[in-house]
Parts: sequence; structure tokens; C-alpha cells
Amino acid sequence: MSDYVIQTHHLTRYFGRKKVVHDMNLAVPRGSIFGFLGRNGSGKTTSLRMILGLLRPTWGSSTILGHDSQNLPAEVRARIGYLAEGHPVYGWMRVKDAKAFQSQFYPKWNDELFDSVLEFFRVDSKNRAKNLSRGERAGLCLAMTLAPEPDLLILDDPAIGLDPVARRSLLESMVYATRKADRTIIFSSHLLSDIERMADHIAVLDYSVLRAQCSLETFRSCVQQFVLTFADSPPEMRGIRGVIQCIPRGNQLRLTLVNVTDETRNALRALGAMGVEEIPINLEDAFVSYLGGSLETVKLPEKSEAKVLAGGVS
Amino acid sequence: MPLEISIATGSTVPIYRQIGDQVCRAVATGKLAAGEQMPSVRALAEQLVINPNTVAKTYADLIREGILEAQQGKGVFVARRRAVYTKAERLRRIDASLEAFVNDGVYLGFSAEELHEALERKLRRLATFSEKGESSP
Amino acid sequence: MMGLFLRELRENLKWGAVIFGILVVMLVHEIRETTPMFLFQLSMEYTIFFTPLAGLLMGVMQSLFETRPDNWAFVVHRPVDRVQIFIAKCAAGLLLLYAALLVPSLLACAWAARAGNLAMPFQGRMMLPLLSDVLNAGCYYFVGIVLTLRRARWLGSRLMPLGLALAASAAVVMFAATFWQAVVVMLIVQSIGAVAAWGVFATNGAADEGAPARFALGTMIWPGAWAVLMFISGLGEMFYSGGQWQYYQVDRDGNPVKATQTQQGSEWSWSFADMNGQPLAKYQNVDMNDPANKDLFVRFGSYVVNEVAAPWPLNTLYEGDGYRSARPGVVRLNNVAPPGVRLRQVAIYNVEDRLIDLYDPLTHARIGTVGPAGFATGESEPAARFPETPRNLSALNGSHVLAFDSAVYWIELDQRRVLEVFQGDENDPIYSAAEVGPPTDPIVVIGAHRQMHVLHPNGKPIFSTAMPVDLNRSFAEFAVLPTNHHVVLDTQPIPGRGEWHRDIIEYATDGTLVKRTELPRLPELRGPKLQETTMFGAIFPLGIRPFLPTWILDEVLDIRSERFPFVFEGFMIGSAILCAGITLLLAWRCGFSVAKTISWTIGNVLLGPAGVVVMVSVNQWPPREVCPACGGKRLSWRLECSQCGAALPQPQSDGREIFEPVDAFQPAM
Repeated sequence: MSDYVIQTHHLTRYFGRKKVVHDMNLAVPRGSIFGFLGRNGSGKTTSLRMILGLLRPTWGSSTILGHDSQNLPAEVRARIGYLAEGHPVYGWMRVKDAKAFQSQFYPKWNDELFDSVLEFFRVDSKNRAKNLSRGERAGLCLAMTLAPEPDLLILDDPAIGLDPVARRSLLESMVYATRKADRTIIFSSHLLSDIERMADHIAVLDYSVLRAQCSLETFRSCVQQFVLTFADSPPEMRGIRGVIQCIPRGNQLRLTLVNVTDETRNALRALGAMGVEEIPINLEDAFVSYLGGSLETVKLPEKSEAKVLAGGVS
Repeated sequence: MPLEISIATGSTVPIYRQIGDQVCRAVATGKLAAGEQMPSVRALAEQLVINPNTVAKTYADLIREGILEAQQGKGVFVARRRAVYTKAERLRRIDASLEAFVNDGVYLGFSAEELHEALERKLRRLATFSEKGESSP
Repeated sequence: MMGLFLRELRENLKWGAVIFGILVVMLVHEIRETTPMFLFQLSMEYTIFFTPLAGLLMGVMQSLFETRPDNWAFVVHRPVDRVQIFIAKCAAGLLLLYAALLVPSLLACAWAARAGNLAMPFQGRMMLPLLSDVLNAGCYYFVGIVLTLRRARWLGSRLMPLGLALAASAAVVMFAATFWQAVVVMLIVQSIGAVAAWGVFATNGAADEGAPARFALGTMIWPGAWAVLMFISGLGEMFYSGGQWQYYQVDRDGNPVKATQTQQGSEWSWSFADMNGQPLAKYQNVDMNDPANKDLFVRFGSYVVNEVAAPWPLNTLYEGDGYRSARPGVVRLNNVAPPGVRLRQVAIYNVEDRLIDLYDPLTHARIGTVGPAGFATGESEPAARFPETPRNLSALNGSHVLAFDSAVYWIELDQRRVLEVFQGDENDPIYSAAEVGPPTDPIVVIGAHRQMHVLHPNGKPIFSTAMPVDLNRSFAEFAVLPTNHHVVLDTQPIPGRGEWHRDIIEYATDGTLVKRTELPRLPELRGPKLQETTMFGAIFPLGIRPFLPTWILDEVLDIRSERFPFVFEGFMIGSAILCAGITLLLAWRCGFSVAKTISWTIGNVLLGPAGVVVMVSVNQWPPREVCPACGGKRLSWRLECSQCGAALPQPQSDGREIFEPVDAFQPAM
């Protein structure tokens, strides 16, 4: 058995002219709760679909539970729970019909689990799916995905459109799902607080390119924030590798850096600041800076404009 | 007495450290008595709605630091024998805290006397807390 | 799989009910019309249009849910083979569709078969048009799935897979002679549709996988593309504002006249000349659109021909010989009493029973039958039946004449009898007979293999003479000159049966040949026909041309490829060469392999411009980007640069990468 439930090799997909996933080499460790991050349209759903064998890559390949994604035998598919984006269900089915329908396909079916997930979400099983609220529908979907007791759970943006209570139920269900040893959960989300609570590993997609794949802790420690104080107005910030965000404020510069090395520190010192101070950064800010764009790709506001902006802030 | 731990997302402090700090404080203030059993990893994860691996990591860290101890097959307990850091480690730790304290103080425009006073006030309060904690049971 | 099937059944029951309900409403409406041709009318007026719509509705509604990729993923991500999911879906959809259509159709047949409901005998073959319409729905069912699920660039290309089904429907309605031919055509179309629908379903609309599925999709699109091209070339005619035509007329004295008709804008004018080309002054400035001038020339009406000799597809196209037509089984007789006498019965010639059935128009009860031996009341067995199928079936509904191999009858249903007016010679079988001349004073013209007989309706002969044309190859139209009662015959070849000729032959009342004028073939003048021939030539597939006789081409498309051979063939070959060029260009641009390029090029030489449309439709258009290695434009979808062969560059590192553990992300190459 491989240590990774999912591995992709140079996975690439175009949609027409658009490169949606570019040369992705991903490996998801067994037993992890894996957060899949990226802005809208950065290729998260497309990657997951290719990994699940629902979409053919333009080139590259992937394996899931040790099998080639494009030729998944039915018994392997039975071991993968997939919650597609938007919580699709057959609207006319009552909750119990959905249970009866879904359960017939799977060799294993945990009725108790199904019912307890519905309980988390307070779903009345006599309702038709189309009459359920968004959160209740998510609960139904999640219950249908969890009840076959899959080894691998892939949740594509499960929190989309959910209110805080339903979201909490979702997280509770996910924690509940980890009771089975060695179960791997992959989920994508835009909610950093959910990622912070749930994920131990993350992958970050930046417009079709996989930029980071590491433990959440590593990511947090790799993104650092510094405040540089200068005697007068701060110099232009160019050419320091790893700078992902730079906000001038008065005679200070607030820099967000990634992968700080000694070389970076020396470069910062060489700027001639009176003081260099590291200030703590939370996950959300780190993430926003990380994907907000590097200095090379995003043009900073002109100096005068930045001053106005800074004045407004301080 | 159940352990009340609350965590906040979006903080600059990672969740595993938030838990660790709260457990340390509870032990320091006597809310958690030596030998008291900690909730299981799963129970605490489900209570806090967080990744069980995070709780496990916290416990592992605390066990390594000697604040908790694991008993084979029984669970995790508050350590009876307080492990002592090396002198160097203790210095490094207090230095890091002092650094932040002094930086903030200077940044906020306090004078050296005011900072001394604040530190002493804090120490006095901690002393009264531990007295209460010892007298209450 | 059973669960999937039942789910689809339950989910789409409502659409089955809707189809069932609409059909029942149509049925009830048609029943209240109480036309004797009920079942044929039902097919012609309703089901022929409704069942394709019903099929489309079912196909579209059943796949609407899966147009969202996430819903589709929910449907197919389960431990069941994807093809089984598709089969379960189609089985349920087709079952509902066919049940919803078949049940009302069979009820309609049962109603029609019950004596007293229709003034019409019931024959098993009358069910065939309805059954064929029901089966036709299945072709459109798969089209519906393809239309809904396939992702296309714009609505037009989304609709193009309708092409094959529409072409097949047209072929079935117009050309199929027997029900089984129709069934074979529709089953082939459904199989192609099923394969294409599978390809579209399996890829969630990309339709870019699997040679069979793409081939099937291309087959569906090709006729559609052709139809679109025909439509576009037809648009060219909208700008055509004039033209000139020439044709022959016969004046009241029996002389052929050459007429030239000119259209300029909305203005029409005519000029007439004799056979030597001399303008005829007496017809100057005559407006032929004026009803007052309708008797200026002799009007030919009745014709005599050996109907059996008409080749396919003329017989089904014009003569109603196909299974969808009532005529091979029953003919309603509309003109079976002397002028002025109203018949209070519905008279039907029953080909199967070889009798004329008389029905009460109000009670729809059968009054009796008329055979050669006269009237037999009610259900009683008649003394004699007619010998075989009438020879003049296609003109029978407006004629008093009933022609058989061995005898010709004059129908007098006001007397409830038929008169035998002529008895054939064993050595000279009768081909056909017709009623000619004014209704008040008609005569009967009988065409046999060797002889032509002209006689009065009471059987009194007028004259007999040698048949001037072969009725197996030509048909003859007859008229009686108003001035001297001479019989004039205008004969032309049956399309596809003989060389071109045109003769006007005039006989005196005693049978002497007055004159016989051979008319030269008129030149095809500048006019829309030349333009149409050009247009059709330019889009006609070269690969089909060898299998299609020129006369069928001309008859079916109504063009003049025979008259303008170099125009039609020239444009066809020119367009084939152009298509080959375009195909090569597209194949190069799309980065096809050599084998693929060659097969598409050969294919499109044979398939014509519609083939190019298919090529563009079933292949994804590959974008290009600048190759960082050589600076040329490389195809984005290729791993190697199409110019310099360099591999696609990996994404550029920008210093942000955070990877751990490293070894996991550097897979062995």
C-alpha cells in the first residue's frame, strides 16, 4: 500500500484556450485531512474531477487509491466518497428514498452513520429533497457520501452557501468521519477558519499552478510578516525574492515574505532600515497575501496613491 | 471539574498552541491538578470541532515538555512531577517573552518605570490567584 | 442497475404522462372530425409532427439534470459501470416514450377497427403509419439527449445533430415503400443516435472520446450541415428577381404553340410563337394569369400509363404507393355518378376485398358492396369480385373508370352497379384507362400494350388504333378538342424510364391520324434553375453522386443537372477539391497525425462541404501559444512543441513554492 491515496503526475488540463490545471504533481498522504485552497477558477474542481476519473486530462496522469483514475473499477469507486460542488440531489426524492436509492449501490452501508449525520443537520427524513434548506441538503448529501464508509472522502467546497450553524454541523460531521482510522479527507474551501480547524495538510493552487503543498504548520511558518522602519520615506522594493506583499505606511514598510532565508534577511538589512521587526500573522492574512499576487505579477499602487491610502488607514 | 478550553480561529496563534497555552495556564493556576485525567484526543477534537491530529500534536508537545504524561492504555494525565527545562531553555523562553513585552511597551510609549510597575502588578496578581487556587478545594 | 432504471422511470413518469395526455387530446379531436381516413389523417396531421417532438421532449427532459457537471458527477460517481447507468437511463426513457405513444395509438386503431365507427373498411396496414410514427420518436429521443448534453459553441451547431433524424424522417415519409424499410431506417438511426448519445453522456458533453461515438455524432451532424448549406444556398434565390421559361401549349385547334414566360420583378409577360418560331399575333399581350384565358389552350388532364412501371422513388413520391398512403389499400371514390346526381353514400374501393364498399355517411354502417355482378347488401357475400388490383389506382378517386388487365368498367354508383365497357384481349393486356373530355360528355380512353381504344361510357366504341407509345416507358395525357372532338395525346417519358421525347398526336373521331408533331426539346433559359443547379453542385457530396442516377437527382432536388452537366459536375468536383484544401489546412492547424489527415481529406472529398462542417464540429479547436523554446506558435494541447519539439515548460517558479516532504512531489519520470 502506498503512503499516498492520491498522486498526480504532470496533470494538465486545458479548456479551450484556457489552461486550467498546469503540470500538477500532487500527493495526498493517507489519513490526512487535506485542505485544497485556491481562488475561484484556479482549477480545484477540475483537478478533483480528473483525479476522480470524471474528466480526462489533456496530458499527465493520476492515481487514486493506487488505481489509474481513468480506469477506476467499480469496487474502487465504492471506496471513494465524493461530494460534488453545490450538493446535488434528486429533488423529487424524499430523504428516505434517497437513502434507499443510494444504499443499493454500495457493498457497505452504515445506516446509523447516515441517520446521525442527518441529526447533526436536523434534517426531517420525511421531507422531499427539493424542499430542504441549503444546509439540510448539504447534510443529506454528506450523509449519502459518508454512509458507505469510504476510505477516501473528497468534498468539493462542501461549505458553499451554508449558514454558520450548518457549517458547524458540517465540520462536526467531518470530525465524526475521522473516527474511522486511516480515512483520508480532502476538501476544498474558501473559508480559512474551516481550513484552520480541519486541515493538517494543504495544497494551494494559484491560477492553475500548484504553489504549495505542505502541512498547515509549515505554511504558517513559511509566511512571515515584517515591519521595517526607515528614517524617512521607504525605498522602492524590488528584486527581493520571496516578497509577496509590500504596504508602505508613513516611514514604515510592512512586508509579507515567504520562504525567508538568510539571504532574504541580508537583503532586508541592506535596505538600511532603522528597525526590522517580525510581527505575527494569522492564517487568513497569510493566505490572502500569498495568493494576492507577487510583486512581479501585481503592480503596486503608485507612491503618492499609496500614501493617500496609508493616510486613510492610519 | 471539566476543562474549559476555547479556541479562536483567525488568530495569529495556531490552534494547537492556543490549546497548549490554555492547558499550561490551567496547570499553572492549579485549575488542573496533578494526576488529573485529560479528555481523550477524540473527545477534545469533537468538543472543539477541530482536527484530532491537532489535539494529538498538542498533547504530544505537552508531554514532551513534561506538563502532561501519557499512561499506556489509560490516557493522558497532568504530570505529577513537573519536568524542569534546562537553564538555557528557560532563559530562551523568558527572553522571547521579555522581548515582546519590552518592544510593545516602548512602542506604546511607556516609560521604564511604568513597565516595571506593570510587571510587578502582574506578578502580585498571579500570586493571589495561586493562593486562592490552593485554598479553594 | 434496476434501481437506476426504476429511478429514471419514476422521475420521468410525468413527461410520459404529458406525452400521453397530448396524444389523447389529438386523438379525441381527430375522432370528432370523423373523417373516413381517420388513421391516415391522424398520422398526417398530428403524430408525424408530434412523435418527434415527444421524443425530443423526453430526451431533453431526461438529461437536463446532468447538464450541470456537478450533477452529472453525482450521477456517475457510484460503483456502477458508466455504460450501465446510460443503458438504464435510455431503457427507462424509451420505455416511457414508447408506452406513452403506443397505448393511445393502439387505442386509436382499435377504435378505427370497430365496425360502425368509420365509413371505411379496416385493414391491418392502416396501423402502419401510426406505428412508424411511434418508432420515429426514438430517433429524436437520442437527438434530444445529444442536443442537451453536448457542449457546443453556438445554438446552430448545437442543433445540427437533428440532421440525421430529420433526413431519416423525410426519407421514411417520402421514399420508403414498405413499413419494413422504414423500420430498418429508423433502427439504424436510433443505433447511431444511441452511440452518439453514449459518447456525449460518458464525457459529460465533451464528446471528444471514442472513435465510434465521434463517428456516430459526425453521422448525425452531416445531414444537418447539408441541410443548413442547402438553406443558405436557397437564400441566394431571394435576391433573384427575374427569369424566363419556355413551355409548350396546344391551342384549341390542336396545334402546338411555344410559350415564353418572362418575369421581371413582380411583372409577368407571355409571348407565343408557332413551331417555326413565328410570333403569333392573336396571342399578343395575353395575360395567362387572367382566369378568362384559362380555356385559351387545351387542358390535358387524364393520363394513361402503366402505373406499375413507375420506378422508385417516383412511385412513393408522387403516386402514393408507400405504406404511409391509403391508396394501395383503399381509394375513396368521389366521382362515381353522373354530373348533378348526389350520392348519399360514401364509396370506397377496397383493394384487399376487390369490391366497392358503400357506407352510410351518418351511421357509418356498411350498406353493401358493389362488384362486377352488381350490389350485395350489408355483409352478404357478393356474387363476384373484381379480378385484381385496378390498373388506374392513382387516378381512381376522381374517375368513373375502373381498369383491370382484362376488363374496363364504368362506375355508376347511383345505380349501385358497374358497367363492363370493354373486355381485354389476352394477347394485348390493358395497362390503364382514363376518363377524358368534359364531364357532361366524357369518353373513355383505354391504353393496352398494342392497341388504344376510345369508346363511349356505355361501351359503344368510337375508334381503336395502334398505341402510338410504349406505356411502360412513357405516359400519355389526353384531351378532346372543343372544336371537332378530335382526341389529342401529349406524350412524354416517365422520368428514369426512357429517352427524352415529346409528341403531340391528334386523331380524328374515326381513328385516322390527323397529325403527329415531334416537339424539340426546349432550351433551359437563364433562370433560377441554373442558379439552383450551380448551388446544389457546389454543396453536393462527390461520394454519393455515383450511386444516384441523374434523373433521381433532378426529380428529387428539382434541378437540371442533366441539362447543365458541366455546371453541376464541375461545381461538385471543384468544391470537392476546395474541401480537400480546406481539410488539409484545418488538419495542419489542428495538428492531426498523417493518417488522420489523409483519412479526413479523403472523407471530405467524398462528403463535400458538409463534411468540413462535421470535421470542425467533432474535433476540438486547439488553441496555440508562443513556444518559449523556439518562439514559434505551438499547439497548446500538445506536450511537445509542434515547431521545435521542445517539451512544454513547467510552470515557472516564483519563489513562493512551499513543498514538503520534497520527495513526494518529484515523481520518478
